Amino acid sequence: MTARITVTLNGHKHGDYLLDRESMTIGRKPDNDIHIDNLAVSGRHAQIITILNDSFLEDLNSTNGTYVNGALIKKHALKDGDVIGVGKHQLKFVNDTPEEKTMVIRPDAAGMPEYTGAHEIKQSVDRIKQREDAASLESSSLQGHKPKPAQSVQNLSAKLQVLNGANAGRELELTKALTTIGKPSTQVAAITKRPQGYFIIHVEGGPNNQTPIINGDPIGTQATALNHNDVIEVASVKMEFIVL
Amino acid sequence: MNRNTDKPELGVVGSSELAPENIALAQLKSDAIRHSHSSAQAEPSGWFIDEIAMHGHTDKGLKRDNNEDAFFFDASMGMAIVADGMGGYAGGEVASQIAVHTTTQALYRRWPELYEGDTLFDGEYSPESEMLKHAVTHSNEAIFNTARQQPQYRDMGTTLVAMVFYDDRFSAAHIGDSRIYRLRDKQLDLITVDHTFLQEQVNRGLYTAHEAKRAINRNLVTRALGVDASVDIDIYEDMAQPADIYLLCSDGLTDMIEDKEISLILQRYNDNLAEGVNALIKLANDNGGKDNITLVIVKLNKPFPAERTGWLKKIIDWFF
Repeated sequence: MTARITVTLNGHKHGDYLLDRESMTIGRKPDNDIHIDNLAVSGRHAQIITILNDSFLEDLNSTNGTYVNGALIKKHALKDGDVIGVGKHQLKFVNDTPEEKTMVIRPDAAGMPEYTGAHEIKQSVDRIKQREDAASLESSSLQGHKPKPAQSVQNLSAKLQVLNGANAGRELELTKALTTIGKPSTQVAAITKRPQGYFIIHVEGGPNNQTPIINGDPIGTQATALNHNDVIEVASVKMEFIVL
Repeated sequence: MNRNTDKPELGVVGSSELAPENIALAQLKSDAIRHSHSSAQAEPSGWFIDEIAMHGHTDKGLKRDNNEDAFFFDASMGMAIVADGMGGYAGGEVASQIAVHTTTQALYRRWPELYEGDTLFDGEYSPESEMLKHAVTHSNEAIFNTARQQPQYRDMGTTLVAMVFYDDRFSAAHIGDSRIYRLRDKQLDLITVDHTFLQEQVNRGLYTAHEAKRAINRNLVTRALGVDASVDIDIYEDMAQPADIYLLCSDGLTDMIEDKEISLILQRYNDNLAEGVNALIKLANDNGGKDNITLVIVKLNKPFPAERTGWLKKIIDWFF
């Protein structure tokens, strides 16, 4: 069942639209897929991007804004029953597709998924990828930095550099999945390498139950993500966390 | 629990066809224990009496006709596994069963070997992590080969989360959208990161994490066991502490229940894991039960350091 949009104004139905294309625009100009001829509506007001069973609503910098269930939005993942407000018109989003069974798609070398089976999904994913590449190129040319590559933290490596005391300057490369640092019965912490990055965790705190300090703040007992240049203090030794 | 008299806590979900293999598993386990007892060395860590408690269960849910999930746990060995199969005609069930079975089997076989003689290692991962990774890699091959040889199992695959506890630590392996959570000091930490198309979208900012929870398309996984000749397995290693509670579960649980509710239930049934398992399954079903629901809860009661090769000896203390 394809998702659809029902347009109403003051309770009167103006039209039904099947979201059967990946991108459908809403606006006052006649060439919009969902054409609403009203001055409160911008020429290109918003668009709905539908990927498989999911539809995303995006405001296209409209003058009067796009609302979902009364709240102003820029981007919104539509769910069944959402009411989109464009000018005085209401667009009801209906998606009664039942939840589908899990399928496998495989990421390609660039980290984007590639479906092993159904061709259409692969095509859709390819198009999203192209769109995102184009978008990131656009934003990078505007902001003057490179597009962010798909993150692969699996190959991440990092080191600790001692900042104070007799051992200042010494370095420890964090090559293991789990590295314990500190002095038993004084203070011990563990640094664990998760696929999403490095985390530090309190292990033992000695008589005062001291937990590791990151950039001046004790972390407590929760696993805390480490960022480049964080200063870690364990057993009175300060170390800088450096991503390589 | 006295291991000599009590039946070990084994939790296996199996279709009747696989029942004989479950018996074979129990046999393997007893062989493994005998093996370790016959060796003259100090008893290896990993043979727990009451340090670790586990409980698990699976439920078909309300909407599916069959149960494609599988799980296994053995508290005395400190191991727990949950798998969520997918694809093919009846292939999902087969894939998850093979995953659980072959992984468990490989662990039982190889666990005792780890403690024979000194284990020196230089790699990124502990020998236990390597063993776990090896076991899961092996199970990937088993599923892939079965799928290739038997047309009715074509395109089958499975998610997997597996944990082994040893020496006040754990190693975990993860593929797909099954998850591992840890409850420590009343805070729930999602340890794994889903291998889903949705998570990729979240990473790219197309969805917020909150929106992702409500999205319909949660069903595309980017990694699974058995769909390819090789597989990229996420391995985790971390310190485990007494009073930690770990939850391994299929997405039939997490799609139906908020993390906050999981946290509250794990805290409330902290002293009764079986009740906690039932409460989570019930809530998932009360909320719609759209998929099979499978979970294993692990509670650490006491420290379980290894005597000879404890992590304390490996501590990095040269700059302290």
